[in-house]
Amino acid sequence: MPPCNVRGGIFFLGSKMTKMAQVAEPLLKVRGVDKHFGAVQALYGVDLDLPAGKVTALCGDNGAGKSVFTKCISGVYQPDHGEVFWDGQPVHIHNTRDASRLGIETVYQDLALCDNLDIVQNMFLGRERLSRYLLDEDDMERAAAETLASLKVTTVRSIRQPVASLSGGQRQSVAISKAVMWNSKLVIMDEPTAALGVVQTRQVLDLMKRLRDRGLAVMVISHNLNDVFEVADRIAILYLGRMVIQDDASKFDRQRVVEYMTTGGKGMKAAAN
Amino acid sequence: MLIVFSYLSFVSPVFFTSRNLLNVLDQSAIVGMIAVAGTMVLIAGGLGGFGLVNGLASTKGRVNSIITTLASGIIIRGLALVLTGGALVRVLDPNFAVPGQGVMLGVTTQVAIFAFVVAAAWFLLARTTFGRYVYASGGNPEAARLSGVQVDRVRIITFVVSGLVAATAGVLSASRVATGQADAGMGLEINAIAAILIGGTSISGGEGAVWRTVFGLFLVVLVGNGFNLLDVNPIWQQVFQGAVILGAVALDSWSKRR
Repeated sequence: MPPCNVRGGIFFLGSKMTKMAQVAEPLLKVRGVDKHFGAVQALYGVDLDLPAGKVTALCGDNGAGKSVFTKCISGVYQPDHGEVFWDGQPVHIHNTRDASRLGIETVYQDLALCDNLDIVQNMFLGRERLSRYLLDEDDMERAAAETLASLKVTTVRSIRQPVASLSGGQRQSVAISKAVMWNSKLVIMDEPTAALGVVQTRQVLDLMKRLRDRGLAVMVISHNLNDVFEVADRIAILYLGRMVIQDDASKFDRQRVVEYMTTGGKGMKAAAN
Repeated sequence: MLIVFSYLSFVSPVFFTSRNLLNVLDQSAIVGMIAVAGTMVLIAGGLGGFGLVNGLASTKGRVNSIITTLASGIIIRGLALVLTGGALVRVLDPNFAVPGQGVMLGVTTQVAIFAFVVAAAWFLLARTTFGRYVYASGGNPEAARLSGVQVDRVRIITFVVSGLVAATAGVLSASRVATGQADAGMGLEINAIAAILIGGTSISGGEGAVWRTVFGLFLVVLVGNGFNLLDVNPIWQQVFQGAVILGAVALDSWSKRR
């Protein structure tokens, strides 16, 4: 590209380039992330793309590094090496607040909800709306009701009932709605259906599809291959701390996923060639 | 409470007189202040324990808060005994007796201050983010932390606030009789805890309210007053009170398990 001395020209070129980049760039791009704890190497140069409007399933056996990797993105851990790009820009996520600021929200496996608080109080916990220094309950109630309605979370009797009285699926739905509330762009879910029955699992899977249809990037950690094939557009598989494959879900079948999860795909590559 | 109230009015002619009831209110005020402030500590999930040192020891130092409270209570009583040699301390300055013996808006000063503490505590818990964080810290500290609530800080603040209120109550109580004694106020904390627990605030945190404690307080004090009016041996009062506390705690953990 010839050097351009006109200021306006640079601007023009620059904005055009970002636009082009945005089309091609995934929302979150992770390159070469290493993480160790003492002598134990948990992640080896992990790469991952999380595009907007897609559900990416992160699979792997126990100890493959899924949780550690997730925590590196959500700001709980700091990677030792590697780069993270958000919308094509390099970023450093030092803590969970940095992640929230970018638009990354995590729904934790153990459901980060307070049983004694009601749905509205939980959804706004830590980010209460105030009017004249006091809690603005009406405003929060309205906003929570809107978010729940837009996500079609309609099974709850009252948004003023304590979370303790909800079913597992309803709790999970509230936890996910809480994450979506903040104009988040990437929602990470750790085993969201692990503790749920059939009907409740369906509610949560449908909710995940709705987030995707809204244009959010969704990353879900799951052991349940039924769920993975039901909801995922892309599948990424970790094996002993290494990312062994990531591709469109249509390129996988059950057996191939299991093979990658248990052997890292050693046999598969030979068979493909 | 209504049952206790009507029973006592029935069996004792003195009970339902404004003089006796005002007296009851006056007696409740000091225990009440401590109980209301203690309610906040319990809701935030830091059972018992008053003051910054206790707060730090039990949150940062990971010392069980019951032990912290008991131990520091013993230390402070011991220090007070060392300072006074166990004798009564008479305060000669007549101004010292003003807050404890004065009258404000038709009630004694301590009742007025108690009413203020109740109103302030209710307001804090129900209308401010701090109150919300108090409930969250007691309900699920991990979830609160992940949502950005500084749980340790919230708990320490409840400890400090209740320490300040307890200190105020102590000064008022001393001012009432214009004397200080190292072991004055023995049994006060038991009454306060009884009021909180009978009101239904949970020892495991997250549940409770100021009005509940006020309710529990009046029950405790009315029963005590009734015993006095009916000339029941005070030793039986203690037995009764202990049994009621035990019952309240048992009910709490039983309803939790269900």
